Amino acid sequence: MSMLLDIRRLSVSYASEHGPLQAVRNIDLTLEKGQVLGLVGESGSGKSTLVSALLTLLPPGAQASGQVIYQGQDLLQMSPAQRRGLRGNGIATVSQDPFTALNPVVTIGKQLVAFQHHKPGSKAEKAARALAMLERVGLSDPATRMRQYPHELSGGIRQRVAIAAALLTEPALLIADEPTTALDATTEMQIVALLRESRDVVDAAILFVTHDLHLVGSLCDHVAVMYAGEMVEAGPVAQVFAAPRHPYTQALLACDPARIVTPTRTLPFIPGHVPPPTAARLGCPFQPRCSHAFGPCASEALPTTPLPFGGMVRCHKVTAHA
Amino acid sequence: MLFYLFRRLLLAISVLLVTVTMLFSLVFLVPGDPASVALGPRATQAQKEALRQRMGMDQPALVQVGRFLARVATGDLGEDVLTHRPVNQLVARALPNTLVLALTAIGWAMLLGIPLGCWAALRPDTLADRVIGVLSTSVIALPAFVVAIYALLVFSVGLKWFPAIGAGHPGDLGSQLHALVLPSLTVGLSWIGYLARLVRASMLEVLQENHVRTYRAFGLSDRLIALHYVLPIAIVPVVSVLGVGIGSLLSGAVLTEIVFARPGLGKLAYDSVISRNFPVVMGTVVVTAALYVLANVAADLINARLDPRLRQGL
Repeated sequence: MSMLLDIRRLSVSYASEHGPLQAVRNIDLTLEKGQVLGLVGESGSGKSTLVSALLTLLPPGAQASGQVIYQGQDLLQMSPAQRRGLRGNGIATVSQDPFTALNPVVTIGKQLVAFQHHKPGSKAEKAARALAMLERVGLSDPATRMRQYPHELSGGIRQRVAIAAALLTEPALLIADEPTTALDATTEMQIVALLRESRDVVDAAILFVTHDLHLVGSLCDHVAVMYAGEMVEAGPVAQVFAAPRHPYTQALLACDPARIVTPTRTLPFIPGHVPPPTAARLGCPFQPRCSHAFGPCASEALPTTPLPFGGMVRCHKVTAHA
Repeated sequence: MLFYLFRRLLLAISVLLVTVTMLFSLVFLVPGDPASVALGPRATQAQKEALRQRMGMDQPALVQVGRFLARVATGDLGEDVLTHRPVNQLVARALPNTLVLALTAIGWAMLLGIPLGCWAALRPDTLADRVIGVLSTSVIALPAFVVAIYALLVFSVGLKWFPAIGAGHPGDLGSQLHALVLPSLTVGLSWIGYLARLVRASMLEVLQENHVRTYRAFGLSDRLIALHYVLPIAIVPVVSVLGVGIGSLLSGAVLTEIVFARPGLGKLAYDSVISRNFPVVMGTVVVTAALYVLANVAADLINARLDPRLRQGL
């Protein structure tokens, strides 16, 4: 398999009234062709900033350093025109909130035609492709859907439309940014199933961003765990889920209701808060909430320990025991 | 849709009722009655009484309001007390001049205000945006009669580019358009600034919405997104404001018509107030109120065309 995306030491910071805020710190991440990678983290872990960087849609005030190499080109070094040439043309996204992701005053059909602007062909040809794609993502009566406006459709159907829109661009990298967070549980599983099936439609690697480890287990083959802007553990899903090395990953998995063995009245949770993204930081960000913390955790920079099958973990405890 | 039209009809009737009632109360408060004006200072008391009776002014106020409304309902606005010509005819002659003036003023406001607002919204907090902001606020703050007098002094009296008075020669479109330039710009000037501010604020709000990010993520150009996918949404509140603002626009037209001596509704209303020609005053007010209600209906229909979500409300 060849490398599609190679993120090297990516850091992103925003200027604020209280000094710079560092949302993403020194992240390394790779994605191979055809891979499905689950990116997991709580709110404030830097997932959204990472997604914005991949979509080359960081806000104007953001400062990015490092490299984001997509198909051999560094996205951070590109001109605005080059970046725009890749958006919706190689890199596609399905956004978090299907209720606001589509333009409210334009019909579904016209929007699906507009999203194919990088593709050759007449409007009629693009409309025909859109119609076929709506059928492929499982919509009943696609011809009527084409004439409808977003507010006339349910959340689940809108998210199917959004996925159809992304697939129409035949992406090499599909970024699904918490695509099920706004949906109810039954619809959620349908959308995850649709994303799984979408790999039969286009040959895309999928970056599935979520805070739900359970969904990662049912969709992804690799998982990367972020905490407070840092990548703390990554590897094949089977390996990470069976033997999580980082205390944070362990704690996250312990919170998954499906994994609770002994019956309990209270759901487990991780006490404490994610540290604020203020720039200065010593040691491990998880240290204040970590039950395994010891000497170096509060003061020394995180080491990186490679694991088998391309995995890695960043934890003083793991390094000390290695 | 039927329910909507019914609601609008009710609104039209209430607006007319309120304005006519307020106007009647004013008529009773203002010194000087139409009978003495019509008959001149040397008329005898008996002559005045006779005319008052003929005009129905000896009746109680409520009866007068009722009679007036009943007549309006049949489409008859009454008779000019001085010339005995039907008010319908006077209004029908003045109305086109005012409509053309108001619509041209709105035209200027849209032609200049909307692009300025868009342009500013796409570069917020830059020098260009601030300059547009200061200029817009300044022209909003300028009263129409001040603008009218300066426009006259500079462009008619000084530079002699445009005629100072009148609406041009009847039948000569060129001279009519020529005579329209200064008055319409006078009425429209503050609206240019107003629309520029409104469009800017509205655009900035819509630009924050999630679907804009979707379109950017699909690689559409910022310019295309702004013009095709943001402006049609941002313009909706602007249309509503224009619909309501047509009232103040018409009052701006009154002052402007007086300064430029254009034979429109405003000039007609003004002249008839001066001569206590109350049937004509009432006629102009009824027509203005009707215009106001019509403008609101038009705004609603345009917005329903622009935003499918609003069609459900009709």
